[in-house]
Amino acid sequence: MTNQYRLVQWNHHKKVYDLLLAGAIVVYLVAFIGVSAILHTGDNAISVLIVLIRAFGTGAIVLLHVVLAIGPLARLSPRFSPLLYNRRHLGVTTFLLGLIHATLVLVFYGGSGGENPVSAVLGANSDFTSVTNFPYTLLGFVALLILFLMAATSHDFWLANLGARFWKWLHMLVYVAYALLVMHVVLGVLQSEKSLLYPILLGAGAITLGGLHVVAGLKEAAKTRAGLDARGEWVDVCAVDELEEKRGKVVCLKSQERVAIFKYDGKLSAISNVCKHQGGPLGEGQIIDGCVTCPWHGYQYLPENGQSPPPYTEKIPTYEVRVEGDRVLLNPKANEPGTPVEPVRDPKASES
Amino acid sequence: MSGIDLFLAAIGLYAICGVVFALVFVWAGVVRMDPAVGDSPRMVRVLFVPGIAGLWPVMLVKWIRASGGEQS
Ligand code: FES
Repeated sequence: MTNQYRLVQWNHHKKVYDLLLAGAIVVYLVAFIGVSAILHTGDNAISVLIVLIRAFGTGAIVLLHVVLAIGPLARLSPRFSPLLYNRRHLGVTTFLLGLIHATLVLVFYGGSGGENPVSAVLGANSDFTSVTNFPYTLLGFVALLILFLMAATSHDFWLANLGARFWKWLHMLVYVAYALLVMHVVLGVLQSEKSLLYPILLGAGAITLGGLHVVAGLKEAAKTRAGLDARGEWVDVCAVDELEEKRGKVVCLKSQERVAIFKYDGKLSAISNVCKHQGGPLGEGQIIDGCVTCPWHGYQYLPENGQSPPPYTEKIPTYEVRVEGDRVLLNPKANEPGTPVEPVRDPKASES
Repeated sequence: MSGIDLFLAAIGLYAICGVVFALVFVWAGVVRMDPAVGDSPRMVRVLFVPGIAGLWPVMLVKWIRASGGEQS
């Protein structure tokens, strides 16, 4: 999947996903502006620019919550995995909404006099020891720089050239950006807004996100603890009937390795559950065109040898499986990435 | 000059160096570092410019390493 780069990795599903995303953003902005127009009339009226600043700012924060919720939701239930498919476009869109918010702020608050508008906005408050005069715009600015770096390095080129570890570390900074934005809103609102609506909604969002991450983490830990024993012996995985055609079943070994077992065309094969691209859960994908297809970004692997179909060159470890009676057994010793393993026949398929 | 102005000047300088480096790098260095870029549509390189400008010290080190590797 890495012999050529494309501008945007669009396919039919991703185009639908992006159209839905664009539609949802337009609906959100229109609804926000409409409700603001109703609430702020007469003496209460506020400038159109301020409404737009709030609409784009809150839109960016809402989207950031969605981005951060998708990971744990997908770990809690495979039903949410399709949302992972195009998470990077959500991230880039979050940055763009934040950028529009910041630009409008510069136009509205930094436009007068000969002063540099950026320094006028960032320098308006300068007391780091005060809650009511804290330079909260600086927090938003640093968060925007982080979101920029993440959006700018979201293409596959960056994963390939920065290396998975550095790239992941860089993209974990999204949590720092989130914390900065929470403080940006809380301190900003404390200085200018009487309504408690924003802090309350933000608190609810933070508690929901924190809760989702904790529950998903506990579930993962429980899965690992309950992992099948793998001390060199074949391990009993499940009944053949428990495997769905062209779908995977993820098996967690005591060694913490995860293996994906697939049933397809009357055969069974097992490969590592970890996608070479960004570690996506292959066992939650499907077999499409004869290949195990990662649910995250669509990398493909042949189930019988763990290799991406030519001209691609990715390889992942394979495992041996066998069937005894109606039970599926797995040899927990991983083969070298790309090692061919003869698939076993599904006895039920040969009977029918 | 206030602290904020110094901060902005430092970021501005970093960004200018980054943009200049990025333009040179996508034209002259990126294929050496990642041959897959050579087989890709040229427009793809435009997409890499903001990231290279943001991470230019990292990319500079990678470029030097890639050039060194080619000579040895
Ligand atoms: S993690 Fe991206 S395709 Fe698998």
